[in-house]
Amino acid sequence: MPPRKPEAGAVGLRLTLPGAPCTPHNLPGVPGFYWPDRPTPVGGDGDPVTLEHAQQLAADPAVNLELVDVADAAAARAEYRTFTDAARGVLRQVAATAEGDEQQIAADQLAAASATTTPAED
Amino acid sequence: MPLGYAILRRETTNAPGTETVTPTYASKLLYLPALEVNPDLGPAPLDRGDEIRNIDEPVSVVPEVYNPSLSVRSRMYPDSLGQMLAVMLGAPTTTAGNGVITDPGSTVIPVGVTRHVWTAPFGPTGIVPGCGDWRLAYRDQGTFFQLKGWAPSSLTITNPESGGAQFTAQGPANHMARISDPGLTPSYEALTVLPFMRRNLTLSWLSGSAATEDFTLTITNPLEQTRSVGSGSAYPDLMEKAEGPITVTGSIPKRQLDPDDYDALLNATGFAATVTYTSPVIIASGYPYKLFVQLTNAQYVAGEIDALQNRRRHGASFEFRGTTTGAAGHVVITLCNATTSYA
Repeated sequence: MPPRKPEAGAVGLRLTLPGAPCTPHNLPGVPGFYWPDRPTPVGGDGDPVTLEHAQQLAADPAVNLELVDVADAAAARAEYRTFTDAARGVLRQVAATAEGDEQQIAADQLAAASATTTPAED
Repeated sequence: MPLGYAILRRETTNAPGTETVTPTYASKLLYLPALEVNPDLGPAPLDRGDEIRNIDEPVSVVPEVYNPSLSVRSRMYPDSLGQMLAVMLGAPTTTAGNGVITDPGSTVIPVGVTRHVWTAPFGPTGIVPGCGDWRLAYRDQGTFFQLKGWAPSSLTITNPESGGAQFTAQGPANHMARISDPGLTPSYEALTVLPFMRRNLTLSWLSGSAATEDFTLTITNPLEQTRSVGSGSAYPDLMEKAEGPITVTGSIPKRQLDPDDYDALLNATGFAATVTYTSPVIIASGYPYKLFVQLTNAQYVAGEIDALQNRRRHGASFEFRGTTTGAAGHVVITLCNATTSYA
């Protein structure tokens, strides 16, 4: 019997890096995040890679990803998007903090400049 | 973006990798997000300039022996540190969290978290120390190396005020070869997993001790590397444990000179100490990444107090060592992370 052709939206990519922690991983050059213990859905709207790209990645022995069936694609997509939204939130928070730091540094520098000029004016 | 990667694997056989020996490896494979990996071939060519040849010019050298080594510096990511400890100290005792087992802080470890424990006396049994294997890809330069039989002689954890807590490890290797492009696509933990930082560090230390200005921890692994007669290799073929056990030491500069610290140095007072890192990043069920280093009997073994000057603050710095009063397990390192196994 020929192998069943996976349906778009019903398969996902799973990380096969040996001993990888059960955390999201990224592979430079490959869009998306991948876990060793759960598949990232592919081939659907908003998924990180198309089905064709996913098949290429899974066929490449140099890439630690395998194509697996996803039992509940809708739930997997929801879970994946929850993660990416949270990750974007963290990045936004970090960016805002960094911006705040710059503003604080500028304020500190201004205060320091005021402090050093005041005695001279006296 | 510049391209390149470094892969660290733990060698599991009792015969470390050499030019001719390919060891077996633990299945765990780590692309280390290092700050720096510095391999050194250590060539020592034969220089025949000491021969009487009536030549007043430098004589050409010829290859004779190589003494490879490697040093690495990385931020203290929970998985990276675990792999480095596994290479140096051997595979830990690993237990999956189940809502029953606890960490050294008596917090229950939930499902999804794994506890890895290294207990002194460390290291694989036998004469061979823990060894690892590196593959280094200078991808933009099209140059690739493999170092086999690398044994860390020291692992130092530092806690700079900024830049994240870091570990550095260094040690000799039995072989360094230029290899063909492994052609791999690296896989890294996402940036959402943070390294431990100085602000994550708490110390349970000598009672009455002064405020701590800085803290470093060093694991020293005595090694001896030799070439056996008849090996036929320009590289070392034996990596052995040297005299002395694996030792945990460190330094702890204090903001103020305190009589409790000085008296502990004077009397070689033994005290229980715990170094704890608690990451803000949650692994599962509200449980974050954690690292504990417990010393049952820490002792100050050296110290230096600031010279008395016309200053408001006079500090002191102490060197400490983890020792045993007879019972085994004088140092216990516990790492709680999301890695299910370092085997």
